[in-house]
Amino acid sequence: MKRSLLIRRSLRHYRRSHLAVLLATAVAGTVLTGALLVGGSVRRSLDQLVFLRLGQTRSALVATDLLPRADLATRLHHRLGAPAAAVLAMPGVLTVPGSDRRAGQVQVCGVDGDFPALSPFGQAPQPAQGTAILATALAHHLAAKVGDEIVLRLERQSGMPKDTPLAQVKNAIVSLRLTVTALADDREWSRFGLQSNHTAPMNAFVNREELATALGIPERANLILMGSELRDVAHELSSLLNAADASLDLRELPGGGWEARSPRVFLASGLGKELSRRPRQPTGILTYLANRIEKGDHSTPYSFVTGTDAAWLPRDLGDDGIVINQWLADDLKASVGDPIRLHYYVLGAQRSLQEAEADFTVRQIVPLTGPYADSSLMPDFPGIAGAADCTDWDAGVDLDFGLVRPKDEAYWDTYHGTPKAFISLARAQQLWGNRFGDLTAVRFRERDRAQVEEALAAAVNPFSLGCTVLPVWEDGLTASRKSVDFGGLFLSLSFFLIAAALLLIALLYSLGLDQRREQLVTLRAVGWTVGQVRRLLLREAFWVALPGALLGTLGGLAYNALVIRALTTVWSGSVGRAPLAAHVSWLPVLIGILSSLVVALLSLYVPLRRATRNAPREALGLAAKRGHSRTRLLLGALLVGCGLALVLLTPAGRGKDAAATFFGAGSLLLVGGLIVDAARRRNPAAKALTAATLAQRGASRSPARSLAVEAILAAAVFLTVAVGANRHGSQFQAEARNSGTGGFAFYGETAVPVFEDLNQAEVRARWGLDDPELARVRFVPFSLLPGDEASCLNLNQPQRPRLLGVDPTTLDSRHAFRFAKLMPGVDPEHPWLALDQELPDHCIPAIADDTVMTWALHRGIGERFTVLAEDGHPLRLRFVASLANSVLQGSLVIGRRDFQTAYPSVSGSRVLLVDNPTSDQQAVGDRLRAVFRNQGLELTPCAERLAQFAMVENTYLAIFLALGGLALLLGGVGLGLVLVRNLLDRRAEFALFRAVGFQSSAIVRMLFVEHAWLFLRGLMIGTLAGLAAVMPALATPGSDPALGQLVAVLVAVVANGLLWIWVASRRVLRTPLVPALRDE
Amino acid sequence: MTSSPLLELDHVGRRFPLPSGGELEVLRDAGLRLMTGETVAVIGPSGSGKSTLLNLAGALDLPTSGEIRFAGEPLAGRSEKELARFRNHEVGFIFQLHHLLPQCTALENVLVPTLVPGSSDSGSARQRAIDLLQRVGLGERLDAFPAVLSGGERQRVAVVRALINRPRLLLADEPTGALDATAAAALGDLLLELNRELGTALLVVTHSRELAARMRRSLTLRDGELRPTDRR
Repeated sequence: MKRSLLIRRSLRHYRRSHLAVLLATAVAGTVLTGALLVGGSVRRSLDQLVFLRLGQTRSALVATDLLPRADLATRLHHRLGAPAAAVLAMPGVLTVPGSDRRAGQVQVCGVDGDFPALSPFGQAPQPAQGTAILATALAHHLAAKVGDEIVLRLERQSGMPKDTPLAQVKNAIVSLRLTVTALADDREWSRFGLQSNHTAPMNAFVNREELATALGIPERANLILMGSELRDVAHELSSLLNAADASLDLRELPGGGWEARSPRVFLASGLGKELSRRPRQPTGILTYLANRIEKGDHSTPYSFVTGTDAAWLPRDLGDDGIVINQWLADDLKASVGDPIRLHYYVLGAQRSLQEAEADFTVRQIVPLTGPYADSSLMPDFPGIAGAADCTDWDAGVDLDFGLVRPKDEAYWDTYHGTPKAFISLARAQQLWGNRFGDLTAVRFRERDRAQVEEALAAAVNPFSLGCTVLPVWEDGLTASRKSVDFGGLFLSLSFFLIAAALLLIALLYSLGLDQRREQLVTLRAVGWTVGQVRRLLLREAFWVALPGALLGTLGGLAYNALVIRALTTVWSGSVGRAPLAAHVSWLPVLIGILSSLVVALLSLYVPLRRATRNAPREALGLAAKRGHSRTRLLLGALLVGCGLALVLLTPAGRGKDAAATFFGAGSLLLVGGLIVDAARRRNPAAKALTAATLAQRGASRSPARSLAVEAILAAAVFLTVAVGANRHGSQFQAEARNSGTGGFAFYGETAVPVFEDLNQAEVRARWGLDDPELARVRFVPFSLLPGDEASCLNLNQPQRPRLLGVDPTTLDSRHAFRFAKLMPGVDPEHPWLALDQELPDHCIPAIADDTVMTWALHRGIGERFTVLAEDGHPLRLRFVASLANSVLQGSLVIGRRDFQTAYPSVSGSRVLLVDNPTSDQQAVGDRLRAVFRNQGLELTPCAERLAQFAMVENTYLAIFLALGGLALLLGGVGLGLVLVRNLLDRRAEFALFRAVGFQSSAIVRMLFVEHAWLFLRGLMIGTLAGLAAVMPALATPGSDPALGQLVAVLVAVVANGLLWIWVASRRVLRTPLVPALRDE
Repeated sequence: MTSSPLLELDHVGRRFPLPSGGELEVLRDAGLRLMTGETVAVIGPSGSGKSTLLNLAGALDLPTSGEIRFAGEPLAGRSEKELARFRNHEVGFIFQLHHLLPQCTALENVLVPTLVPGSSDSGSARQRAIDLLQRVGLGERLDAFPAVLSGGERQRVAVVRALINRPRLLLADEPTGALDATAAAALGDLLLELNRELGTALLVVTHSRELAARMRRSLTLRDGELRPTDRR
């Protein structure tokens, strides 16, 4: 005979109890393997989405200001041999004429014949002129079908950024009426988009050239998609870009040489810097409109002044010197040495014009001839350059034409925009340079055009154009791989379920070992050492746990399929409706088998060790070795104390600290509470013997069994309580300034920016915001840099999160929102003003929602996060404060000043927080949607937006609750088994009760009390531990636990548990007891 | 039989801590000398410490005072492994309840002690087990499981299991306690026959005066001490 035979015999003989252990192991294995597989499935699905989003695209040039020529894609293709495509992608508004169907956040993609070469499956929309192909998500949203007519509204693209002084913003919207000729699905690249979001973009594909022409930027594209990796294209791009890509026009100068200027008026500042590095530096020119030039009481209206470093100005002009032409000198009666004052506009926030002034001294008066009579020094200001008369100027700013005299008209007629005064280039740049540039032209002395073009080409590169080149494929994969770890998430959500399953394994195995105590004695008596007995039992247990783990794998596969299905249906709220599919890979399966095997064997080992240690002694009539109750009581109390201390020391919040406290303090309180209770149970206080105390003593007969049952129940109830307490209620003070809504009624986002200050009376009148219904409505505008959604609605880790730029005073004056944490040094009374702080390390202060900072960006207060500025340079943000659960989740907020510096081409505001003191939210919302119809305003009540975010958390909690329910089920199974086992073990005892005259009902009562005692103690420990563990989250400002629901659930659990204990107690006593007494 | 004792208990005491904090003294000054091949019965009232004495003799428990020697060598100070080896090679245990493994046949139950590493050669042990089982009249019941054996048969299997490794000492704790009078008498015969045939010393703890009377010596355990039994 060999040991293996003994093991085989034991496996067969104890197959029933082994089967129970095997099934409990399978439950643990199911949860473990399932959680890992769910993690793999989510990740694989997100990877798949990256492919569906980007196809063969590996890198992309993104232009936001100066748009390169679309044929750059062809040049790249020829140079690199890899596919490349030019795309013109713009946000737009889509409406179906004759209906109220509209979509406000449409991504309009102008594509051409090169587009399919980069598509995932070789198929992509190729709309002809006059047609549009809609992504199915958009078509579904609009209920649009093939043959429908649609109207697209987009922001007109002029050469000049809208926030530039003297830029025109009238007619800012372009409409395109198109016919839908096809719908595109995932196989036809309907998901095209560069942002790492998993939601299907609302794409409308149109003919690129038709779109570009309509927008006023023919032959331009703002995206060049490339099939080559970034490292392969970076150098080639610089050599392929030329003056035309930088929108530079070359004009030959009458006196020889060439001038480069741009339809956007200001040359990109990067370009000026590149050119200034040339050995043969060109002459820089900055010409600007002065509203008035004054000398004493004399004033000349609307004149151009040029700043230049040209040789024809005196070298010693200095910062305060000015050269004026004879016409102006005559008009102002000015002589050399006279003081001159210039008045001019500078642009404040939201195109609010402020008049500034600067003083100069006349250094020279020059004739209106030669270089001083050069009308081409005036840039092509839209609305001015081609005007026949001064009064025809349409400069995009309010001009008082009443000031224009006949002599001014005569000057315009003769000399057009010829500057009347000249200052140094450095001073001009100081006065009029802005975020769009500080030169209106550069002049080259070279006579050979080719030489000039060569010089310009050398200066033009993605940086100087303000373009960024992004490794979009790598970024996409990084975002997906650093996405929410659903494996870890489900493992932690299942933590207490797994714990319950392991306790059940231990309990079942312990019950099995109880039957074999004599064997253990025999083995010891015949010479087996404790170690040998343990190894034998472990080997036997291995063959129980292994099939359990394998069965758990099958369960895990089902769990994976089930959970993924739930995540795409009933639990889709937690994943932002991401299209997930169940995937199976070997690694998680293998890890699942091994880990469930290991944890099962570890769980078995505890009762195994105790049994092998105590069995001979117990069986031979000696007391089992047990720890001292007093020591255990102290240990338990210590653990409870540590748990409570952890709770008290954790600051209020819902961040990582609170999560760590939940698991850490929760475990300490649970384990400590159970140990205290077990120690007390072992030494029940001496009380008079009654039926009740008899029942109480019954519960202390098998302390380990009672403890296991209590522990399982406590873990399950802990979960239920924690979930209930964390769940957001539906009622919160939405109107309060210090709530998550900031007291704002609506959160709005437009497709086309709003450039003006909607709080100014004249602007409001122009927009129709002055009618009585809207009279009290006010706006807080935010500039928006589109990017990855950073809220919990995006499963991917945001690589380039959305950025909002705001004037901090607008929020500070309202004391809007509640802050979760502040960086030391931030004024707690005015945290928003920290956005305007100068930080010592030149970082830009930023504020984000606490959940975004913690979970999406993995940053803390005071930590840095780097994004790319428009010119491709890294922009280091530092988190100075975090908001508590606000409607601004999804974006990072920086000061508008910093925003404009980093993203000069992003004009206007696209995000609006709306104050509505009136009570009729619905009517005001409808009116605002109508007012901003052309801008594609998507308006959401702030309370509703908060509820959307809360839904994610609530769905996670629902999952947690479901898993807690399973744990409770396991607790019920454990309690049932212990009940049955206790009753079987004690049949003779009950028979004796009968024999000495107890009625059956009294015995049932006693049994009920004994087991209800266990049940209620488990519940109590779990409830108290759960409530304590979630205290930091509950103490978070704005938290609104659904306590009513929690109490209802607990009452239901108690009632259900007691009912089944009663039923089981009655059933057991129906079995005949007299034979048991006879056996005894 | 040689002149040196096989088992010596010298002023052996055993106390157990009580949950209330005090101690219960079960053995106080127990002394015993058992010669090779000798048969000794220990009788005494319930709770007098008979089983404790047997557990100490078989190294399943250790004394709190005094010394136990086997073949002149003290048991104290031996490691768990050495004690297990001692039980495996030198001692055979017979309990009141047979403690057979229900999952194993009669033959397999007998062979359980040989599974300990360093125990008998498995081939010869198997033959010896068959011979012994045949010797006790169970030659036809080798493959029977305990569930189908009678009480007397089970106890005989337990006796054979105790003898499989040729121990020099057989410790029997109420071996006839669970048997009827006929079966008890038969088991007594068997134990004495085996003692004669194999020369195994036999220490029997029993309530049965009949069984005790069949042993060469009988001792009474009272007040924690062993004294010769008054055979009147």
